[in-house]
Amino acid sequence: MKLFWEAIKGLGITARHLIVNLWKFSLYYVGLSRDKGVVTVEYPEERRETFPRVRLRHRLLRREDGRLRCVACFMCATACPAECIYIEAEEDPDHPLEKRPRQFLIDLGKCAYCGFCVEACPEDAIRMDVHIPELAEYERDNLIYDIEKLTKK
Amino acid sequence: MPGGKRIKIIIDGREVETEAGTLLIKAAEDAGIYIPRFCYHEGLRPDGNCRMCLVEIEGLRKPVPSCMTPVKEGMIVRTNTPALQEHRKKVLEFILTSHPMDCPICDQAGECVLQDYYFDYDLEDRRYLEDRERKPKRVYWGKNLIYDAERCILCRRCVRFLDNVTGTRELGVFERGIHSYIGLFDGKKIENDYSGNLVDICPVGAITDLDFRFKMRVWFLDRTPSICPFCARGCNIEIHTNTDRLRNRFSSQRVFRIKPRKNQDVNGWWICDEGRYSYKFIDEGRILHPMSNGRKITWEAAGKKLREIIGNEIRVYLSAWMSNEELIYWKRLADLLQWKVSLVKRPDGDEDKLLRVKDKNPNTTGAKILGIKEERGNEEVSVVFHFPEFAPEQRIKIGIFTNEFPDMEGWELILPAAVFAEKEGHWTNFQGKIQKFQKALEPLGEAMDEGRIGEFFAGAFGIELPWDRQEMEREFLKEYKKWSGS
Amino acid sequence: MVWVIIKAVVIFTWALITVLYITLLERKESALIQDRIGANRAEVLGLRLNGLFQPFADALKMFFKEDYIPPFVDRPFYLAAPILSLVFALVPIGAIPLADKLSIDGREFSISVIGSNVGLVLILSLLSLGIYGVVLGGYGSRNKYGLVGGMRATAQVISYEVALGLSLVGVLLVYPSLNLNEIVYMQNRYVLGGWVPLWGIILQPLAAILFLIAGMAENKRVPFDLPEGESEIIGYFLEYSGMKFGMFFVADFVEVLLLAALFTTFFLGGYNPPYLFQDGFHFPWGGALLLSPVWIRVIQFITFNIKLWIVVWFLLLVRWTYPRYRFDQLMDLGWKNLIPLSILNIIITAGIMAVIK
Repeated sequence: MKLFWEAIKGLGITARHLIVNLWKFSLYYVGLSRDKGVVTVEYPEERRETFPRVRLRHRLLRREDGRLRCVACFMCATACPAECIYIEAEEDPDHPLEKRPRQFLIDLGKCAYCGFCVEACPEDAIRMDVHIPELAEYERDNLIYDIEKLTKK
Repeated sequence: MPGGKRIKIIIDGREVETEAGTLLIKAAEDAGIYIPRFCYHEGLRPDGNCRMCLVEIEGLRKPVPSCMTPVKEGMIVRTNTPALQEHRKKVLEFILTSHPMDCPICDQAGECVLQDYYFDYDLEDRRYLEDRERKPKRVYWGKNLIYDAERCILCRRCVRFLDNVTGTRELGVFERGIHSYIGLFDGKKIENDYSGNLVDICPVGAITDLDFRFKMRVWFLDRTPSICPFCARGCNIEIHTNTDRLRNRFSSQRVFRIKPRKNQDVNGWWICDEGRYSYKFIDEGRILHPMSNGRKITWEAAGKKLREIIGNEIRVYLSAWMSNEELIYWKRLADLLQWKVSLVKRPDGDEDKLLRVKDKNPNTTGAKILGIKEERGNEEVSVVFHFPEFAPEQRIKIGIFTNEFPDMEGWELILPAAVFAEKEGHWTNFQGKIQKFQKALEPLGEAMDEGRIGEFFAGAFGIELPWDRQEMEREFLKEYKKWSGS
Repeated sequence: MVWVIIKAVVIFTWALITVLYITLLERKESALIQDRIGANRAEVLGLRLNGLFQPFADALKMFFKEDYIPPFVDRPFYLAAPILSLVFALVPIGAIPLADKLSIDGREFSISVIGSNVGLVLILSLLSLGIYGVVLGGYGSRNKYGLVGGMRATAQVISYEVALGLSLVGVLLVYPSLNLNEIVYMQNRYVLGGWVPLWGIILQPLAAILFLIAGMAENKRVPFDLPEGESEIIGYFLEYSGMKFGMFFVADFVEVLLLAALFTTFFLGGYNPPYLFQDGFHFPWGGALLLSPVWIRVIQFITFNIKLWIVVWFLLLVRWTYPRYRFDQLMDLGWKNLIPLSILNIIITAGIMAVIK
């Protein structure tokens, strides 16, 4: 008999969730309330706020004069456990910093998002603060990001 | 001073036996005790200006520079006391007052002794509050040399190298005190044939190599001991390669630089610029597939083509760039097939008193030991190794080459061969020394080393003669003994 | 005959559309119970209406999925199983009266496909046949998990068939007729000054509960879903995909509809709203609202639907509340609890009826 009452109680809980959520969501749906009642985040339109320390896609920073902060020291490539960073350095003839990257590629398909490159960078040139999680591509090669794609915020 | 008196000294509590007159730093190094140094280099006359190598000797009140102190019977030396460490820390702090912290853009980072010593002895923040001294950066010194005066710690190794070794004396120290820098004497540029060694001996990144500059960080390089093939001296070298997977997708460069390896009997510490900068042929313009009259074919088709020439008179032009093992293997093969054998080689070139010799081939001596002579024949078919220019005209020409050349259409068959960095073997230098070179890279494309190509020939002509490099090495040593005994 | 076909088409269309929306209700209700929103993306002409068109999208998806038949199956059985399953679930609905009989030009005209006098027996027998679909599905798949699932289903359905039938015996004792229309008429009586209707749930509360539980077990839905166990123990439709799986799936929901319709008919006064009589409403407080026969049928049909949806809602609530039984617990519940209780119910009911007589 106790079991029977517990069963009824269970029904009560689910029924309460159902009715409360139905009420709240109906008000929200017709625009009378801002409380949705449910936890669903309707993804493409709504986005959950990312935490400031979350590690997502990389970004290459620029100096005040528009030059890349990166001096192609290969520290990130050295620290990278996935070996996904490819850098080609070249001489920067007009700048007191003699070196700049001609090519800076990150294979995001291989990247493990560990953030070691950010830690390793002596120039604060690379960060993972682009809070964009979307990285779907039809070709693997499209996941190899070059300087142009990496400097976009 | 070879043959000097043997004496005993005590370094860090260890009894060390050495020759009288040896410098203390050298004696310690031979015994496995490394004393830090900037200005001292084994191949140069000691200068004693950096004060990094100071050691304590019992009985002396002050530490003395070990690079200027010859050993003496019964000396008791301590190289690593707390006082000396403190002293080294001070030396480093003094150097670092004006050394720029641009390790991220400095090519020397990773093999820089200043960096190493900083981590060994200093690890302190900068206390000197004044601005760093501004000096010219990126000074072009001629050939492949770029000088950065800010990074320079004025050890004067470069000045002494040009004085002691080449004798050309292009460099000197100018100005005084903190303003001093190394500079070219008026109207001079460094144009001697050994300039690349300045990059090697510079303990910091003050002299960098235009050829290597910013191409690669040194810790990504794999180092393989090898022998320089550009003259009969057979200088000992190290091939620095990087065959990282992602890198190879975007760049075909595998070899990044050549560095000398110390070998007192052959080349000392140096190599010439020709040997240092002529590595490009390893990655560029290689023949990747068997070719027939300029068209790409498969190895199978090449075998078929080979069988077509059976029955003709054949002469094989072996090259002086082949290893001892390959030469003896091919000689056997030719004997079995009753082919005639002769030798082709690069023409003689410049020589000088230091390293370079007239003969520009690594293995002329090896061919001489095996009795392969330079002669031309008039046979119907000629099989030519490495040097297409030696092929007799108007005949069936079969070539075994590494790099592309202008008229490949005229060749019945071209087989791709591995370059010296892609195989292992031995060369015999002009002194008669047999030296081993090791495999640094995989052969590019479908190329094979000459031994395997020999096996391929044997297979095509139905002969059982397996290519076993170690077996051939033993065979060659037998021949060598006969030759050196006579 | 023509009329039967027309009625069949109309009523089964109604049934299938209702079933489609039961699937939507299931999705939405489960979502809200779990603090989610549920499917709301299906769009027709830019209108989403929070997922109102989702069932059609689901149906379209099912239709266009690849119709794959595994090479090792027993083809006749494999192909027949989903069809049998769906048909035996759907046909009983035809026997349920959705409204009162209508007399047009002196002809009796029942608002159900099969206006049988033995509707109850017909429905029970068809329900028993439904097991063939499941068993053949499990057997024809030639898959041991499928077969075991089918066996579990057989054991379960046969066990609960007994309890289901026995619980209805009590109802039959109270309303002595096998004609469903008659049963509905007999529930349209009022006691306590005309306020309380003599619905099955009031006269036979124990039978109502037993019927509901046994019916849910017949349905093979969550607390009793051992034959299916989609994600864990794997059931009889393991080898089915595409539209064939869709048929099983729809049959499942048709059974929900059927159970709700039967419960409405037997225990909730059928299509009659309270106080509606042959000529209109007669309220206990003395008022009356007289209506034409056709309007009365319309009101009855709407009432039937409302009751139906309330029962469906409750069934889904149960489905999303309880965890699954273990098989021995399932058998215990069926044989040791439900059947004795339903026999007890029969004895008590029969005793009371005898005393009243």
